[in-house]
Amino acid sequence: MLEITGLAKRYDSGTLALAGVDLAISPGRIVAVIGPSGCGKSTFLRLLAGLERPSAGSIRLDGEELAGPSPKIGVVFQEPRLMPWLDVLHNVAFGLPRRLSRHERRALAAQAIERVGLKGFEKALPKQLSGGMAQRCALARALVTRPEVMLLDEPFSALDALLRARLQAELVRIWTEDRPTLLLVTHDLDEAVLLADEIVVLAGNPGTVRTVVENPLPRPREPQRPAFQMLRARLLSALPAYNLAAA
Amino acid sequence: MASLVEPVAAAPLAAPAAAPGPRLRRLPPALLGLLLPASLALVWEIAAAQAWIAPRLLPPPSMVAATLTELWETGELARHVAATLGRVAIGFALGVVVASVLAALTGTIDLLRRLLDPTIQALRAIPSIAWVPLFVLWFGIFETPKVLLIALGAFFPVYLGLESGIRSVDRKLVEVGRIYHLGGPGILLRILLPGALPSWLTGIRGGLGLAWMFVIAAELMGASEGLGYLLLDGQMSGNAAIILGALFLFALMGKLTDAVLVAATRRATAWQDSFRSGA
Repeated sequence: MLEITGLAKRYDSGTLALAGVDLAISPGRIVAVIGPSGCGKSTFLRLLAGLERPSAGSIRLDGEELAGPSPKIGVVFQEPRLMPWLDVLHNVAFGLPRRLSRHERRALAAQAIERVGLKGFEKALPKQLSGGMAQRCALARALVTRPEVMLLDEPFSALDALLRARLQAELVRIWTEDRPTLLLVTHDLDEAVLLADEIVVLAGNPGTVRTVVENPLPRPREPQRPAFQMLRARLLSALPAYNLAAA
Repeated sequence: MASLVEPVAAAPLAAPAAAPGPRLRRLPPALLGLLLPASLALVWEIAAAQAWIAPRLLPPPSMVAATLTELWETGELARHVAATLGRVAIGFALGVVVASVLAALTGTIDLLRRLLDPTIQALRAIPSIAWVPLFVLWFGIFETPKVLLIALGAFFPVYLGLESGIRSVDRKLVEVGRIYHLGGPGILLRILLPGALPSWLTGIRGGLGLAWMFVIAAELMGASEGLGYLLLDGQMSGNAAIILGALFLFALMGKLTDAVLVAATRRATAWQDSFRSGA
Protein backbone atom coordinates (compact mmCIF):
# COMPACT_ATOMS: atom_id res chain seq x y z
CA MET A 1 0.00 0.00 0.00
CA LEU A 2 1.37 3.35 -1.05
CA GLU A 3 -0.09 6.18 1.00
CA ILE A 4 0.50 9.77 0.10
CA THR A 5 -0.81 12.41 2.47
CA GLY A 6 -0.69 16.16 2.14
CA LEU A 7 2.28 15.96 -0.18
CA ALA A 8 3.52 19.40 -1.17
CA LYS A 9 6.60 20.79 -2.81
CA ARG A 10 7.75 24.38 -2.93
CA TYR A 11 11.03 24.89 -4.78
CA ASP A 12 13.74 27.21 -3.51
CA SER A 13 12.70 29.65 -6.22
CA GLY A 14 9.36 30.00 -4.44
CA THR A 15 7.32 28.10 -7.03
CA LEU A 16 4.67 25.94 -5.46
CA ALA A 17 4.70 22.89 -7.71
CA LEU A 18 2.49 20.62 -5.68
CA ALA A 19 -0.01 21.60 -2.99
CA GLY A 20 -1.35 18.91 -0.73
CA VAL A 21 -1.80 15.72 -2.74
CA ASP A 22 -3.59 12.83 -1.00
CA LEU A 23 -3.63 9.46 -2.66
CA ALA A 24 -3.78 5.82 -1.61
CA ILE A 25 -2.69 3.18 -4.06
CA SER A 26 -3.36 -0.50 -3.43
CA PRO A 27 -0.60 -2.95 -4.28
CA GLY A 28 -0.54 -4.46 -7.75
CA ARG A 29 -2.54 -1.74 -9.45
CA ILE A 30 -1.61 0.29 -12.46
CA VAL A 31 -2.21 3.97 -11.81
CA ALA A 32 -1.81 6.67 -14.41
CA VAL A 33 -1.26 10.29 -13.47
CA ILE A 34 -2.36 12.73 -16.16
CA GLY A 35 -2.64 16.47 -16.27
CA PRO A 36 -1.65 19.52 -18.29
CA SER A 37 2.04 20.25 -18.67
CA GLY A 38 3.36 22.11 -15.68
CA CYS A 39 0.78 20.58 -13.34
CA GLY A 40 3.47 19.02 -11.16
CA LYS A 41 3.33 15.50 -12.62
CA SER A 42 7.07 15.22 -12.82
CA THR A 43 7.59 16.78 -9.41
CA PHE A 44 5.15 14.25 -7.97
CA LEU A 45 7.11 11.38 -9.47
CA ARG A 46 10.47 12.79 -8.37
CA LEU A 47 9.16 13.09 -4.82
CA LEU A 48 8.06 9.45 -4.86
CA ALA A 49 11.42 8.43 -6.33
CA GLY A 50 13.17 10.21 -3.47
CA LEU A 51 15.03 12.56 -5.80
CA GLU A 52 13.36 15.61 -4.23
CA ARG A 53 12.45 16.20 -0.60
CA PRO A 54 8.84 17.12 0.09
CA SER A 55 8.18 20.52 1.68
CA ALA A 56 5.24 19.02 3.55
CA GLY A 57 3.32 15.78 3.82
CA SER A 58 4.49 12.22 3.77
CA ILE A 59 4.88 9.18 1.56
CA ARG A 60 4.45 5.80 3.22
CA LEU A 61 5.08 2.44 1.63
CA ASP A 62 3.63 -0.46 3.65
CA GLY A 63 3.35 1.88 6.60
CA GLU A 64 6.98 2.90 6.42
CA GLU A 65 7.82 6.54 5.87
CA LEU A 66 10.00 7.06 2.79
CA ALA A 67 12.94 9.39 3.07
CA GLY A 68 15.06 9.33 -0.06
CA PRO A 69 15.35 6.60 -2.70
CA SER A 70 14.12 3.19 -1.60
CA PRO A 71 15.12 -0.24 -2.90
CA LYS A 72 11.42 -1.08 -3.00
CA ILE A 73 10.85 1.54 -5.70
CA GLY A 74 12.11 1.27 -9.27
CA VAL A 75 12.16 4.15 -11.73
CA VAL A 76 11.99 4.33 -15.52
CA PHE A 77 12.67 7.81 -16.83
CA GLN A 78 11.50 9.46 -20.00
CA GLU A 79 14.97 8.91 -21.47
CA PRO A 80 16.71 5.56 -21.08
CA ARG A 81 19.55 7.07 -19.01
CA LEU A 82 21.87 4.16 -19.64
CA MET A 83 25.53 4.35 -18.72
CA PRO A 84 27.10 4.74 -22.19
CA TRP A 85 30.25 2.88 -21.11
CA LEU A 86 28.41 -0.24 -19.94
CA ASP A 87 26.94 -2.92 -22.18
CA VAL A 88 23.30 -3.97 -21.82
CA LEU A 89 24.05 -6.70 -19.29
CA HIS A 90 26.02 -4.39 -17.01
CA ASN A 91 23.54 -1.56 -17.38
CA VAL A 92 20.76 -3.88 -16.26
CA ALA A 93 22.89 -5.22 -13.40
CA PHE A 94 23.76 -1.65 -12.36
CA GLY A 95 21.04 -1.44 -9.74
CA LEU A 96 21.68 -4.80 -8.11
CA PRO A 97 23.23 -4.64 -4.67
CA ARG A 98 26.95 -5.34 -4.54
CA ARG A 99 26.53 -7.89 -1.81
CA LEU A 100 25.20 -10.34 -4.39
CA SER A 101 27.89 -12.40 -6.06
CA ARG A 102 28.99 -11.63 -9.59
CA HIS A 103 27.35 -14.81 -10.70
CA GLU A 104 24.02 -13.98 -9.08
CA ARG A 105 24.01 -10.48 -10.51
CA ARG A 106 24.75 -11.85 -13.97
CA ALA A 107 21.93 -14.41 -13.71
CA LEU A 108 19.36 -11.89 -12.47
CA ALA A 109 20.31 -9.39 -15.16
CA ALA A 110 20.08 -12.04 -17.87
CA GLN A 111 16.63 -12.95 -16.63
CA ALA A 112 15.42 -9.34 -16.70
CA ILE A 113 16.89 -8.91 -20.18
CA GLU A 114 14.90 -11.91 -21.36
CA ARG A 115 11.71 -10.50 -19.84
CA VAL A 116 11.96 -7.32 -21.89
CA GLY A 117 12.89 -9.20 -25.05
CA LEU A 118 16.50 -8.08 -25.34
CA LYS A 119 18.05 -11.53 -25.26
CA GLY A 120 21.03 -11.69 -27.58
CA PHE A 121 21.93 -8.03 -27.03
CA GLU A 122 23.67 -8.47 -23.67
CA LYS A 123 27.00 -7.29 -25.03
CA ALA A 124 25.67 -4.34 -27.05
CA LEU A 125 26.66 -0.81 -26.01
CA PRO A 126 23.98 1.87 -25.67
CA LYS A 127 25.24 3.65 -28.79
CA GLN A 128 24.36 0.52 -30.77
CA LEU A 129 20.76 0.36 -29.50
CA SER A 130 17.70 1.89 -31.13
CA GLY A 131 15.44 4.12 -29.02
CA GLY A 132 13.01 1.29 -28.30
CA MET A 133 15.77 -1.14 -27.35
CA ALA A 134 17.39 1.41 -25.07
CA GLN A 135 14.07 1.97 -23.29
CA ARG A 136 13.60 -1.81 -22.93
CA CYS A 137 17.04 -1.93 -21.35
CA ALA A 138 16.03 0.84 -18.93
CA LEU A 139 12.88 -1.11 -18.10
CA ALA A 140 14.95 -4.23 -17.40
CA ARG A 141 17.24 -2.22 -15.11
CA ALA A 142 14.20 -1.15 -13.08
CA LEU A 143 12.71 -4.66 -13.09
CA VAL A 144 15.85 -6.51 -12.07
CA THR A 145 15.53 -5.61 -8.39
CA ARG A 146 11.87 -6.74 -8.37
CA PRO A 147 10.59 -3.51 -6.81
CA GLU A 148 7.17 -3.36 -5.20
CA VAL A 149 6.43 -0.08 -6.89
CA MET A 150 7.60 1.03 -10.31
CA LEU A 151 7.48 4.68 -11.29
CA LEU A 152 7.40 5.44 -14.99
CA ASP A 153 7.83 9.01 -16.20
CA GLU A 154 6.34 9.21 -19.70
CA PRO A 155 8.43 6.18 -20.57
CA PHE A 156 7.27 5.76 -24.17
CA SER A 157 6.71 9.37 -25.17
CA ALA A 158 9.91 9.54 -27.22
CA LEU A 159 9.02 6.47 -29.31
CA ASP A 160 7.03 6.29 -32.54
CA ALA A 161 3.38 5.22 -32.36
CA LEU A 162 3.93 1.62 -33.46
CA LEU A 163 6.78 0.99 -31.08
CA ARG A 164 4.86 2.69 -28.28
CA ALA A 165 1.89 0.37 -28.77
CA ARG A 166 4.17 -2.65 -28.69
CA LEU A 167 5.99 -1.60 -25.55
CA GLN A 168 2.70 -0.74 -23.84
CA ALA A 169 1.46 -4.27 -24.53
CA GLU A 170 4.72 -5.73 -23.26
CA LEU A 171 4.56 -3.63 -20.13
CA VAL A 172 1.15 -5.11 -19.36
CA ARG A 173 2.48 -8.61 -20.03
CA ILE A 174 5.45 -8.06 -17.71
CA TRP A 175 3.16 -6.56 -15.09
CA THR A 176 0.90 -9.65 -15.10
CA GLU A 177 3.91 -11.83 -14.26
CA ASP A 178 4.54 -10.50 -10.77
CA ARG A 179 2.13 -7.57 -10.47
CA PRO A 180 4.14 -4.71 -9.03
CA THR A 181 2.34 -1.43 -8.42
CA LEU A 182 2.88 0.69 -11.52
CA LEU A 183 2.63 4.43 -11.28
CA LEU A 184 2.76 5.95 -14.71
CA VAL A 185 2.99 9.64 -15.44
CA THR A 186 1.77 10.44 -18.94
CA HIS A 187 0.22 13.17 -21.02
CA ASP A 188 -1.23 10.61 -23.42
CA LEU A 189 -4.93 9.96 -22.61
CA ASP A 190 -5.02 6.81 -24.73
CA GLU A 191 -2.04 5.43 -22.87
CA ALA A 192 -3.76 6.14 -19.56
CA VAL A 193 -7.00 4.41 -20.59
CA LEU A 194 -5.14 1.52 -22.20
CA LEU A 195 -2.92 0.72 -19.24
CA ALA A 196 -4.34 2.02 -15.98
CA ASP A 197 -6.85 0.62 -13.46
CA GLU A 198 -7.11 4.04 -11.93
CA ILE A 199 -6.45 7.41 -13.48
CA VAL A 200 -5.47 10.39 -11.36
CA VAL A 201 -6.21 13.72 -12.99
CA LEU A 202 -4.05 16.55 -11.68
CA ALA A 203 -4.92 20.22 -11.99
CA GLY A 204 -2.04 22.63 -12.31
CA ASN A 205 -0.77 25.77 -10.63
CA PRO A 206 -0.30 24.54 -8.00
CA GLY A 207 -0.64 20.81 -8.57
CA THR A 208 -3.58 19.19 -6.81
CA VAL A 209 -5.69 16.10 -7.45
CA ARG A 210 -8.71 17.15 -9.46
CA THR A 211 -10.34 13.75 -9.63
CA VAL A 212 -9.60 10.03 -9.64
CA VAL A 213 -11.29 7.95 -12.34
CA GLU A 214 -11.68 4.18 -12.08
CA ASN A 215 -11.11 2.23 -15.27
CA PRO A 216 -13.37 -0.85 -15.29
CA LEU A 217 -12.54 -2.00 -18.83
CA PRO A 218 -11.30 -5.59 -19.03
CA ARG A 219 -7.89 -6.34 -20.54
CA PRO A 220 -6.85 -6.50 -23.30
CA ARG A 221 -8.34 -3.14 -24.08
CA GLU A 222 -9.08 -2.00 -27.59
CA PRO A 223 -8.95 1.72 -28.30
CA GLN A 224 -11.52 1.45 -31.12
CA ARG A 225 -14.26 0.19 -28.73
CA PRO A 226 -16.94 2.71 -27.73
CA ALA A 227 -16.41 2.08 -24.01
CA PHE A 228 -12.74 3.01 -24.42
CA GLN A 229 -13.62 6.19 -26.26
CA MET A 230 -16.25 7.13 -23.70
CA LEU A 231 -13.81 6.83 -20.86
CA ARG A 232 -11.32 8.86 -22.83
CA ALA A 233 -13.92 11.56 -23.37
CA ARG A 234 -14.70 11.58 -19.67
CA LEU A 235 -11.05 12.14 -18.84
CA LEU A 236 -10.80 14.88 -21.41
CA SER A 237 -13.69 16.72 -19.83
CA ALA A 238 -12.10 16.29 -16.41
CA LEU A 239 -8.96 18.05 -17.61
CA PRO A 240 -8.82 21.83 -17.20
CA ALA A 241 -10.41 23.56 -20.19
CA TYR A 242 -7.28 25.38 -21.30
CA ASN A 243 -5.66 22.08 -22.03
CA LEU A 244 -8.36 20.82 -24.41
CA ALA A 245 -6.61 22.01 -27.52
CA ALA A 246 -3.36 20.35 -26.54
CA ALA A 247 -4.98 17.02 -25.70
CA MET B 1 14.95 13.31 -62.14
CA ALA B 2 17.75 14.16 -59.79
CA SER B 3 18.63 10.55 -59.22
CA LEU B 4 19.02 10.07 -62.96
CA VAL B 5 21.27 13.07 -63.45
CA GLU B 6 23.52 12.68 -60.45
CA PRO B 7 25.59 9.61 -61.42
CA VAL B 8 26.33 11.10 -64.83
CA ALA B 9 27.52 14.34 -63.28
CA ALA B 10 29.54 12.56 -60.63
CA ALA B 11 31.36 10.20 -62.95
CA PRO B 12 33.76 12.61 -64.69
CA LEU B 13 34.56 14.26 -61.36
CA ALA B 14 35.39 10.98 -59.68
CA ALA B 15 37.60 9.63 -62.45
CA PRO B 16 40.65 11.95 -62.29
CA ALA B 17 40.63 12.06 -58.48
CA ALA B 18 40.76 8.28 -58.34
CA ALA B 19 44.16 8.06 -60.01
CA PRO B 20 46.70 9.30 -57.37
CA GLY B 21 44.47 9.09 -54.27
CA PRO B 22 43.85 5.39 -53.69
CA ARG B 23 47.45 4.32 -54.23
CA LEU B 24 48.68 6.59 -51.43
CA ARG B 25 45.71 5.71 -49.30
CA ARG B 26 46.42 2.02 -49.66
CA LEU B 27 49.73 2.40 -47.79
CA PRO B 28 49.61 1.48 -44.10
CA PRO B 29 49.02 4.65 -42.01
CA ALA B 30 52.34 4.23 -40.22
CA LEU B 31 54.24 4.29 -43.53
CA LEU B 32 52.19 7.24 -44.73
CA GLY B 33 53.19 9.18 -41.62
CA LEU B 34 56.87 8.42 -42.28
CA LEU B 35 56.70 9.72 -45.83
CA LEU B 36 57.30 13.39 -45.00
CA PRO B 37 60.24 12.96 -42.56
CA ALA B 38 61.89 10.42 -44.87
CA SER B 39 61.70 12.74 -47.88
CA LEU B 40 63.00 15.65 -45.85
CA ALA B 41 65.92 13.55 -44.64
CA LEU B 42 66.71 12.59 -48.21
CA VAL B 43 66.69 16.21 -49.44
CA TRP B 44 68.77 17.20 -46.44
CA GLU B 45 71.29 14.44 -47.13
CA ILE B 46 71.63 15.50 -50.76
CA ALA B 47 71.99 19.15 -49.77
CA ALA B 48 74.84 18.25 -47.44
CA ALA B 49 76.55 16.03 -50.03
CA GLN B 50 76.38 18.87 -52.57
CA ALA B 51 77.88 21.15 -49.90
CA TRP B 52 74.91 23.57 -50.10
CA ILE B 53 74.94 23.74 -46.31
CA ALA B 54 77.83 23.66 -43.85
CA PRO B 55 77.98 20.20 -42.23
CA ARG B 56 79.44 21.74 -39.08
CA LEU B 57 76.23 23.66 -38.45
CA LEU B 58 73.75 21.24 -39.99
CA PRO B 59 75.26 17.77 -40.26
CA PRO B 60 73.41 15.39 -42.58
CA PRO B 61 71.24 12.56 -41.20
CA SER B 62 73.96 9.99 -41.97
CA MET B 63 76.39 11.85 -39.70
CA VAL B 64 73.80 12.16 -36.93
CA ALA B 65 73.13 8.45 -37.21
CA ALA B 66 76.86 7.70 -37.06
CA THR B 67 77.24 9.84 -33.94
CA LEU B 68 74.31 8.10 -32.27
CA THR B 69 75.68 4.67 -33.20
CA GLU B 70 79.02 5.60 -31.73
CA LEU B 71 77.41 6.74 -28.50
CA TRP B 72 75.33 3.58 -28.44
CA GLU B 73 78.38 1.34 -28.79
CA THR B 74 80.11 2.91 -25.81
CA GLY B 75 76.94 2.30 -23.79
CA GLU B 76 76.64 6.00 -23.08
CA LEU B 77 73.49 6.52 -25.10
CA ALA B 78 71.58 3.82 -23.24
CA ARG B 79 72.59 5.47 -19.95
CA HIS B 80 71.32 8.90 -21.05
CA VAL B 81 68.09 7.55 -22.46
CA ALA B 82 67.45 5.48 -19.34
CA ALA B 83 68.09 8.49 -17.08
CA THR B 84 65.65 10.70 -18.99
CA LEU B 85 63.01 8.00 -19.33
CA GLY B 86 63.26 7.25 -15.61
CA ARG B 87 62.74 10.90 -14.67
CA VAL B 88 59.80 11.26 -17.02
CA ALA B 89 58.22 8.05 -15.72
CA ILE B 90 58.48 8.97 -12.04
CA GLY B 91 57.57 12.64 -12.48
CA PHE B 92 54.68 11.89 -14.82
CA ALA B 93 53.29 9.16 -12.56
CA LEU B 94 53.52 11.46 -9.55
CA GLY B 95 51.81 14.31 -11.40
CA VAL B 96 49.01 12.09 -12.69
CA VAL B 97 48.28 10.54 -9.30
CA VAL B 98 48.25 13.81 -7.36
CA ALA B 99 46.22 15.62 -10.02
CA SER B 100 43.69 12.80 -10.28
CA VAL B 101 43.11 12.55 -6.54
CA LEU B 102 42.72 16.32 -6.23
CA ALA B 103 40.40 16.57 -9.23
CA ALA B 104 38.28 13.69 -7.97
CA LEU B 105 37.89 15.56 -4.68
CA THR B 106 37.17 19.00 -6.12
CA GLY B 107 34.96 17.47 -8.79
CA THR B 108 32.69 15.73 -6.31
CA ILE B 109 32.77 17.84 -3.17
CA ASP B 110 31.43 21.28 -3.92
CA LEU B 111 32.93 22.87 -0.83
CA LEU B 112 36.42 21.61 -1.74
CA ARG B 113 36.05 22.91 -5.26
CA ARG B 114 35.18 26.39 -4.05
CA LEU B 115 38.02 26.17 -1.54
CA LEU B 116 40.82 24.82 -3.74
CA ASP B 117 39.97 25.37 -7.37
CA PRO B 118 40.64 29.14 -7.53
CA THR B 119 44.10 28.60 -6.04
CA ILE B 120 44.90 25.79 -8.44
CA GLN B 121 43.74 27.89 -11.38
CA ALA B 122 45.88 30.79 -10.20
CA LEU B 123 48.95 28.59 -9.82
CA ARG B 124 48.36 27.32 -13.34
CA ALA B 125 48.94 30.84 -14.62
CA ILE B 126 52.58 30.67 -13.49
CA PRO B 127 54.75 29.29 -16.30
CA SER B 128 56.11 26.10 -14.77
CA ILE B 129 59.69 26.93 -15.78
CA ALA B 130 59.46 29.91 -13.42
CA TRP B 131 59.48 27.46 -10.52
CA VAL B 132 63.00 26.28 -11.36
CA PRO B 133 64.93 28.75 -9.16
CA LEU B 134 62.69 28.02 -6.19
CA PHE B 135 62.91 24.28 -6.69
CA VAL B 136 66.71 24.45 -6.88
CA LEU B 137 66.75 26.54 -3.72
CA TRP B 138 64.52 24.11 -1.88
CA PHE B 139 65.60 20.74 -3.20
CA GLY B 140 69.14 21.24 -4.51
CA ILE B 141 70.22 20.28 -7.99
CA PHE B 142 69.89 16.50 -7.93
CA GLU B 143 66.97 14.27 -8.80
CA THR B 144 64.24 15.68 -6.52
CA PRO B 145 63.73 19.07 -8.18
CA LYS B 146 63.84 17.49 -11.63
CA VAL B 147 61.17 14.93 -10.85
CA LEU B 148 59.02 17.52 -9.10
CA LEU B 149 59.26 19.92 -12.02
CA ILE B 150 58.11 17.18 -14.40
CA ALA B 151 55.31 16.25 -12.02
CA LEU B 152 54.22 19.89 -11.91
CA GLY B 153 54.18 20.04 -15.69
CA ALA B 154 52.03 16.91 -15.93
CA PHE B 155 49.76 18.00 -13.07
CA PHE B 156 47.73 20.79 -14.68
CA PRO B 157 46.45 19.14 -17.85
CA VAL B 158 45.47 16.03 -15.90
CA TYR B 159 43.75 18.04 -13.18
CA LEU B 160 41.84 20.18 -15.67
CA GLY B 161 40.90 17.18 -17.80
CA LEU B 162 39.45 15.17 -14.96
CA GLU B 163 37.84 18.10 -13.18
CA SER B 164 36.04 19.38 -16.27
CA GLY B 165 35.21 15.80 -17.26
CA ILE B 166 33.52 15.16 -13.94
CA ARG B 167 31.61 18.39 -14.13
CA SER B 168 30.27 17.63 -17.57
CA VAL B 169 28.91 14.19 -16.66
CA ASP B 170 25.16 14.16 -17.31
CA ARG B 171 23.19 15.07 -14.16
CA LYS B 172 20.57 12.56 -15.26
CA LEU B 173 23.04 9.69 -14.95
CA VAL B 174 23.97 10.83 -11.47
CA GLU B 175 20.27 10.67 -10.59
CA VAL B 176 20.22 7.04 -11.68
CA GLY B 177 23.00 6.47 -9.16
CA ARG B 178 20.94 8.16 -6.47
CA ILE B 179 17.92 6.00 -7.31
CA TYR B 180 20.09 2.98 -6.54
CA HIS B 181 21.30 4.52 -3.27
CA LEU B 182 24.90 4.97 -4.29
CA GLY B 183 26.75 7.21 -1.86
CA GLY B 184 29.42 9.74 -2.81
CA PRO B 185 32.18 7.17 -3.39
CA GLY B 186 29.83 4.89 -5.34
CA ILE B 187 28.72 7.72 -7.60
CA LEU B 188 32.35 8.79 -8.09
CA LEU B 189 33.61 5.31 -8.96
CA ARG B 190 30.68 4.02 -10.97
CA ILE B 191 29.39 7.12 -12.73
CA LEU B 192 31.63 10.19 -12.51
CA LEU B 193 35.03 8.64 -13.21
CA PRO B 194 33.87 6.42 -16.10
CA GLY B 195 31.92 9.34 -17.55
CA ALA B 196 34.90 11.66 -17.22
CA LEU B 197 37.33 9.11 -18.66
CA PRO B 198 37.63 10.54 -22.20
CA SER B 199 38.38 14.02 -20.91
CA TRP B 200 40.67 12.57 -18.23
CA LEU B 201 42.66 10.62 -20.83
CA THR B 202 42.99 13.71 -23.01
CA GLY B 203 44.43 15.46 -19.96
CA ILE B 204 46.80 12.57 -19.27
CA ARG B 205 48.00 12.67 -22.86
CA GLY B 206 48.61 16.40 -22.60
CA GLY B 207 50.37 15.80 -19.31
CA LEU B 208 52.72 13.31 -20.92
CA GLY B 209 53.59 15.86 -23.60
CA LEU B 210 54.38 18.45 -20.95
CA ALA B 211 56.39 15.92 -18.94
CA TRP B 212 58.68 15.55 -21.95
CA MET B 213 58.91 19.29 -22.28
CA PHE B 214 59.80 19.76 -18.65
CA VAL B 215 62.37 17.00 -18.51
CA ILE B 216 64.52 19.11 -20.84
CA ALA B 217 64.09 22.17 -18.69
CA ALA B 218 64.95 20.05 -15.67
CA GLU B 219 68.02 18.52 -17.26
CA LEU B 220 69.25 21.81 -18.64
CA MET B 221 69.39 23.17 -15.10
CA GLY B 222 72.29 20.83 -14.50
CA ALA B 223 72.59 17.10 -14.91
CA SER B 224 75.36 14.58 -15.34
CA GLU B 225 73.32 12.28 -17.51
CA GLY B 226 70.20 12.34 -19.65
CA LEU B 227 69.27 13.64 -23.06
CA GLY B 228 69.24 17.20 -21.76
CA TYR B 229 72.85 16.71 -20.65
CA LEU B 230 73.60 15.43 -24.16
CA LEU B 231 72.13 18.64 -25.59
CA LEU B 232 74.32 20.79 -23.33
CA ASP B 233 77.33 18.64 -24.13
CA GLY B 234 76.73 19.16 -27.84
CA GLN B 235 76.47 22.89 -27.32
CA MET B 236 79.68 23.07 -25.23
CA SER B 237 81.72 20.98 -27.65
CA GLY B 238 80.19 22.64 -30.71
CA ASN B 239 79.00 19.25 -31.97
CA ALA B 240 75.73 19.83 -33.86
CA ALA B 241 75.38 16.11 -34.61
CA ILE B 242 74.98 15.34 -30.90
CA ILE B 243 72.37 18.09 -30.52
CA LEU B 244 70.41 16.86 -33.53
CA GLY B 245 70.73 13.28 -32.30
CA ALA B 246 69.30 14.24 -28.92
CA LEU B 247 66.46 16.16 -30.59
CA PHE B 248 65.72 13.15 -32.75
CA LEU B 249 65.61 10.90 -29.68
CA PHE B 250 63.25 13.30 -27.90
CA ALA B 251 60.92 13.24 -30.86
CA LEU B 252 61.13 9.46 -31.10
CA MET B 253 60.52 8.76 -27.41
CA GLY B 254 57.78 11.38 -27.07
CA LYS B 255 55.95 9.90 -30.03
CA LEU B 256 56.49 6.32 -28.85
CA THR B 257 55.30 6.89 -25.29
CA ASP B 258 52.28 8.78 -26.63
CA ALA B 259 51.47 5.93 -29.01
CA VAL B 260 51.74 3.41 -26.16
CA LEU B 261 49.38 5.53 -24.04
CA VAL B 262 46.83 5.86 -26.84
CA ALA B 263 46.97 2.15 -27.66
CA ALA B 264 46.64 1.19 -24.01
CA THR B 265 43.57 3.37 -23.50
CA ARG B 266 41.78 2.96 -26.81
CA ARG B 267 39.54 0.17 -25.53
CA ALA B 268 38.56 2.23 -22.49
CA THR B 269 36.83 4.87 -24.60
CA ALA B 270 35.37 2.59 -27.28
CA TRP B 271 31.89 3.28 -25.89
CA GLN B 272 31.98 6.90 -27.02
CA ASP B 273 29.48 7.66 -29.74
CA SER B 274 31.48 10.35 -31.43
CA PHE B 275 32.45 11.49 -34.89
CA ARG B 276 34.89 8.97 -36.41
CA SER B 277 35.18 7.01 -33.19
CA GLY B 278 35.02 3.89 -35.33
CA ALA B 279 37.84 5.01 -37.62
